[in-house]
Amino acid sequence: MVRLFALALFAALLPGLAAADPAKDTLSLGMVLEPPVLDPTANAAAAISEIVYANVFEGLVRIDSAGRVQPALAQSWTISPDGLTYTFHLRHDVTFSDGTKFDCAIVQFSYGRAAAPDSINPQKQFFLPITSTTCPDPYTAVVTMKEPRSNFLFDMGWADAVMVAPNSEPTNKTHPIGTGPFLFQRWLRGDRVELVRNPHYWGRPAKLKSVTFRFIADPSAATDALLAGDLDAFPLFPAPEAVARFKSDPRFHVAIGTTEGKTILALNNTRKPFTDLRVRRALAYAIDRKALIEGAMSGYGTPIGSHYVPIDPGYIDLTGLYPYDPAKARTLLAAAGVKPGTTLTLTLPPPPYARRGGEIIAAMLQQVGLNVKLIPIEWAQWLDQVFKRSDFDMTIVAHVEPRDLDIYARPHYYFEYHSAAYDKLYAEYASARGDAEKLTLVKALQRKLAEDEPNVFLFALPKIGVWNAKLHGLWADDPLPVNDVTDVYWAP
Amino acid sequence: MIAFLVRRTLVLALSLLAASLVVFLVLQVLPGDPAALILGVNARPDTLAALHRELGLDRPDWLRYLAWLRDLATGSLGRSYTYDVPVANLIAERLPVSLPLAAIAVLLATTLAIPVGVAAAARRGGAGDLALMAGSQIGMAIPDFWLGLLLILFFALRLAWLPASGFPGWAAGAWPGLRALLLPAIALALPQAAILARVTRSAVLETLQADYVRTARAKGLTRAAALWRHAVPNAMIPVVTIIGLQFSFLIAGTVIIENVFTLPGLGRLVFQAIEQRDLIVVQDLVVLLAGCVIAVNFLVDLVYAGLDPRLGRL
Amino acid sequence: MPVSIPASAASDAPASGARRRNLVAGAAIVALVLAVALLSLLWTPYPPTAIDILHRLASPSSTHPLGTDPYGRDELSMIMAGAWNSLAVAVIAVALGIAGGVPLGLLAAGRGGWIDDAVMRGSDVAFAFPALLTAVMITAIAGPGAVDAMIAIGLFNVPVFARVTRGAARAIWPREFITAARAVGLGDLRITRLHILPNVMPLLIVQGTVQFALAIIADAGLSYVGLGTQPPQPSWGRMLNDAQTYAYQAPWLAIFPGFAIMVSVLGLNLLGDGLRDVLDPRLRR
Repeated sequence: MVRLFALALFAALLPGLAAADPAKDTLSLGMVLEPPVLDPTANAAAAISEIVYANVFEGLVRIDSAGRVQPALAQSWTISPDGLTYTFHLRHDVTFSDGTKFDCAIVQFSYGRAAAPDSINPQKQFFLPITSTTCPDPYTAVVTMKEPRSNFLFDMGWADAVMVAPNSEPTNKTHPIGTGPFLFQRWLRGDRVELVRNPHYWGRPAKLKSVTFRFIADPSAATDALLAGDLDAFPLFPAPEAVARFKSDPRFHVAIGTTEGKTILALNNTRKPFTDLRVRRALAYAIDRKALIEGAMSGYGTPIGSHYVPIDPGYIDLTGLYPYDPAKARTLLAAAGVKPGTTLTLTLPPPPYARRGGEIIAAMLQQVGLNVKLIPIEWAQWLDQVFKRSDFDMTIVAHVEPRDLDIYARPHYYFEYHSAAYDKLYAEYASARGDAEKLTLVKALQRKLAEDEPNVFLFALPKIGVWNAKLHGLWADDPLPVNDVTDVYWAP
Repeated sequence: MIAFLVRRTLVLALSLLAASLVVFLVLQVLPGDPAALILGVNARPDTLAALHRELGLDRPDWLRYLAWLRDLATGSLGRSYTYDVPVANLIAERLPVSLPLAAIAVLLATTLAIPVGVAAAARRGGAGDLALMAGSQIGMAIPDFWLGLLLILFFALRLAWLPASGFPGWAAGAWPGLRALLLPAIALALPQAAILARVTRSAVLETLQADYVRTARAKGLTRAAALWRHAVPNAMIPVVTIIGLQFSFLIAGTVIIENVFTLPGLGRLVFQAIEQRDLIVVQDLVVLLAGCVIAVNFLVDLVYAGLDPRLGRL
Repeated sequence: MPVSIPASAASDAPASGARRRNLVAGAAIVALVLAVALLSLLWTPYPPTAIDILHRLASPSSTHPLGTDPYGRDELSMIMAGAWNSLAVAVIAVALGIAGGVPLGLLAAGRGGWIDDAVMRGSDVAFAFPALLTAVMITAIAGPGAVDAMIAIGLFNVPVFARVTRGAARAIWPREFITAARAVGLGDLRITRLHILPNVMPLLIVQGTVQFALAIIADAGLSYVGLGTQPPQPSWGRMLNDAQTYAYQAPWLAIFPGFAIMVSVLGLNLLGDGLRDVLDPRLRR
């Protein structure tokens, strides 16, 4: 112990890092959570993709800032008319940062590993419809499917589907080796991850020389670090209550965008009284979304009326379906036989949107005669009790997975929504081939959910970005949880 | 004496074993699955099972307990589920925050409390004594995390002299690191200083009443000389014991202060490990900290036994 | 949560007049806190859980003497209701400690031998556990909440009371009046009930007051990190946590709940010191 202490003191005497040079080509970017590991194919933590996606690791395709599929390691592809065969034409000049060549064998390895029996890929279901990946030549990958999947290319743009090489796969968790425009430099656990520009990148080289991702969980510390100039950007700023002071400061740019986070009041559809459609609608009428967003999120957040967010293709605004109307809520509850004073539980996971939102929703439901008992729990318990065992009345949670309308079609999902009509619609959507058909169907799905109101849809989590006004190229919206810094640069 | 030593060593070993078993058993009851947290909401049952195999969570409890004892014995402390690195590394990364923080706090508390306590004892019943004792009453009543909050409000937000929270790391230099630890150390030190001042005062008062001090005074030693040459040095035994206790308390007890100031120390590591159900990290830390205290108690017992053979069966 | 120190080391007040003053001042403060807590059950200026988003983060004024919190709840009403909550948690935690620790201590002192050894070594191990971390563990197992905070704090009071009871009881067993009681044929159990327990009681009352104060701080700390009392039940510790988030906009929110904790703990400590001076004959020099 004494020796360690001496070491700590010795470390304290080391000189500080060199100051930033005048022609700025470095970026210091703040994040709330530190990733547990740095391999996005082995852990679902969003903090991983927020560092490595597009910067270090790349997939065959990628998602851009508008949520569209773009070529990446595959420069083009063709899809067979039956939607079962994808032929990817790979780039010829790509190497991993340890020198390993990228070719079709890597595609075979990456997709095979994700679908293998011992796979721990968090999105293994994306890869299961694949029957085979074959290599007619080193730069052509042919992926054959069991059934058509209209979202397959989008899914392959997720961080869980990036290309990893067999020789670096075992150490990617602590030292990621990818094909991207940045190289992993070092990870000071508890503090930062540093990336530097990849001099041998196959595409347009990054404009920044180095990027530091710093982990600052505390909202007031995040505010201080930005004001002091220790941080250049905080793309997912955690303190909506502190945004006003940045808005009035010309040194900063505040970007209010949207994430994929569909914040819902999830209801246990197999439990009374939520089995009754009138009760679920009554809850929707009883909640004043505007006041909720004001109180829980300091006014940032977009109301939603279904399980879909405005930045996704085919979004329709259904918030007018159940306007705030406590009188109507009371009538509906009475019609359904729910007596005033009925007690319901509301289970709350740790994020502020849930804990703060829960207190406000409890007060709103009180107004229509429902007693709400708040039960705050940790994520581990939420996953076990609510998510795995469906043991809950109501819960507040943000579903951050993009375009996840499929969860309402799963045979058992924690809120236990079962509708043959929805399942049929979803099956049509999943196998739809034309874009027009897909859009029509995605609108029908949103409408069906809003009519059945299995959950009360509250708001889309905002993306509150605060960064230096001279900084350009960061994403305003978050169609995926990522911080793509490949095109970020400083205005002179 | 030999028999006593053997007996106490045996008790020490058994205590440590008991502590490890208690921690292990308690944590088995903890609801939640680390694999579910790692893999998120889209994880399939077969993926979870694969990760359980990889982490060794599919083995029976007793086997995992034995494997953990082996890891404790070898010093690797096992592998973190969440971070996939040896727990010993994780702990070593946090010590440069927790140890200096506890050390600065104890240093501040001691330099403040001992002169105050001695001065109060020397002028027992005087106005200064009364004021100091009243001050220490208030010091003991202030929750350290509230004090931390007030320090942030005043020194960080109002005056902007010191950072409100966070830790830049020692790599950024000694001064930024010390600046970051100063406010939390003060918050920890003041309540401890209040206790220490009282202990010092009553210990000095007690020795002032002792026969040898009276004898020394009778032999013509001045009051001040009797105080500094005899009373204070002899009063230091209980004082040092309390300082030792406070230091071991502070290393484990900074959890809340680390939360107030968001410092990446041992306390936050444990906190996060519990959230992530990274149980092996929790087990290791609790047993290590408990082991430290048990070992310190053991040493204190030995010293006392050496001083006074009659205390052998305390 | 400061180190739990033996009650005898914590004080000997400067002069006998001051000792009385401690007792009176302590009793007055504790009575005040208790009165506020009881009053909160009948009346508060506003319902302590009523949310009023329009008037959130209002600074202190005549309508809201201590301002409103981030949900527009009246800070004064919450502090009043928080007093009740704080006292309730601490009372039950200390009661748990006494219920568990006193019988163990009496048993250890009365039986001696391996039982004594086992109880003492057991309490050594219990003391060695980092209290706060273990409390965090316990609340993680049982889920956060006031009841779990009571249990966690109560568990750590068991060895404290076991030790105090054992130490005091051991000093009484060799005394003549016990030997006399033996001679007239009283069994150990009856001696413990009739002679040992009443003589240990003063020390227990004093230690109980000290532990009560520590329990209030511990509960506030656990609630501050989100593990103690849960919303909407107002609690001083959680109010401080909310206050920290809004430290820029509403710094006054950080003052009052902490002040309430400090005053309560101060009152209890003073009361404990005063009681010790009155009840513990050994300190009457």
